Amino acid sequence: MKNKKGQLRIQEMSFMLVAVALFFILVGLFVLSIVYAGINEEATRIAEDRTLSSLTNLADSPEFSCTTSKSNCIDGDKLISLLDKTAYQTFWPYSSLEVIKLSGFGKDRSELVECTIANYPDCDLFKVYDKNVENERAISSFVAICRKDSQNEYIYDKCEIAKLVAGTKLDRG
Amino acid sequence: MKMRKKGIAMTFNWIFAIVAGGFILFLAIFAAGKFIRTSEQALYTETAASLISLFDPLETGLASGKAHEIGFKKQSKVFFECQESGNSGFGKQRISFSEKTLGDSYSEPGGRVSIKDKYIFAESVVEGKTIYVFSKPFFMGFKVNDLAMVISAEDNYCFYDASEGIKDSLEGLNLGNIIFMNASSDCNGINVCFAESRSSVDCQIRVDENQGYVLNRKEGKIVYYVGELIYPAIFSSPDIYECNVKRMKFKFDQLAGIYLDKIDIIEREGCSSNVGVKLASVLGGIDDSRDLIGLYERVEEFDSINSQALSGCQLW
Repeated sequence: MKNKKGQLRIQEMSFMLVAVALFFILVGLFVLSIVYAGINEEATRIAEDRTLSSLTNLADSPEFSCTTSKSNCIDGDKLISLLDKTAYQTFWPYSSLEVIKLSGFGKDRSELVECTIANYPDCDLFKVYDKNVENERAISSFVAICRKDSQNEYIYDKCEIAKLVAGTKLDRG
Repeated sequence: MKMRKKGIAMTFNWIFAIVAGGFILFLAIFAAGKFIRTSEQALYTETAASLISLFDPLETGLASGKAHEIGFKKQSKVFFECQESGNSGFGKQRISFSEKTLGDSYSEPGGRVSIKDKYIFAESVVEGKTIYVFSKPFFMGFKVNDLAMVISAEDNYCFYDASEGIKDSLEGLNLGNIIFMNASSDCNGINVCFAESRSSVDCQIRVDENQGYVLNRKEGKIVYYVGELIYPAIFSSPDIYECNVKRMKFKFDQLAGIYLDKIDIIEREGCSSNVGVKLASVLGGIDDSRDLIGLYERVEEFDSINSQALSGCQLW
């Protein structure tokens, strides 16, 4: 009889232990899910900050900058050459990068004429690259875009306004 | 007999409670320790990722240089690594961060965060509560990139017999730990010597401006430089310097490709350029920084051709 009572106590204690262990595991999982959700959001925030901070300086980078000493100015003649340089897809920290000329402002995306060597400069959109990520947020910055033009054998820089648009991949849903 | 049986039951309960309790306690302490370490690592990784954003305002644009200081709450270490291959040829650098915890020891560094679009020159470990970051533009005919130098505010750099150009360039950045020595100045730190004749000073770094090289006596290595690369050559570890020089040569080639395409574009508007052949001839990888010297002479040739081009038809 006493032996059975002892066994019962061991069983009770085992169940109790399993329950306590399960409780701690559940609490641990709950805490981890909150902490890691925060990390994910923080990673996205840092990525967006990075996009913003680097985009403001991108126009002055050697790949984009104008020949003449103008700040925040993109050289259209270099930009058109940059379109087929696929190596740059992994260089900048953006999921997509494009430049929309003044002629493309207010147009629907489907109406924009994408720039190629053949139709340049009569086009609206320079698509530098697009990694086609599912969830991204775009940040834009206004810049000047200049290209060589000529009139009566006089060669000059023709400038207009444009929008530099960079996308950041969002990890949260 | 009864007493003995009761004694056994008590002992078993106690042993069971101690073993089970100890196990739970061990698990709880282990989990808490693991959790603290993981949180610490996450925080350090976040710090390293945030540090990267601080390099963006250093883009010089039209300026001749920029500088700022970064302060940490505690004594910290920033680790730098450089990888010359991969990333479509651009290579990359990795930064990790750690800080002093209880006692006098450093915790394990956080995760390594990649930076692909910057060229950061530093010792492999920069330690201090404050670090200075400064940048200089680098030109090889056209602008190739900005050079970002990272140094600890705790390391003094004592410059002996530096030329006026270097003095003006660095003094303009207001870096508190770069001291240009004269008869009355006192400096305890890394001695950087520019003249051969300086024998009374134990020079850890010796710069030969005529030959274009920097000898790092501590590491026993020579690195070659051209133009503004003199600053990275002085302030960076030779390994990181050589790695970044190869990364920069790849970027130079990509930019040269863009300028070669631009020749065709501006020809439509009546511009012609004679730079193409010379520019195409300097494409290709380099073995080490020594190759920069010969390359730079050829660069000066095509830069001169470009500057003589018709007004409005220059490529850069």
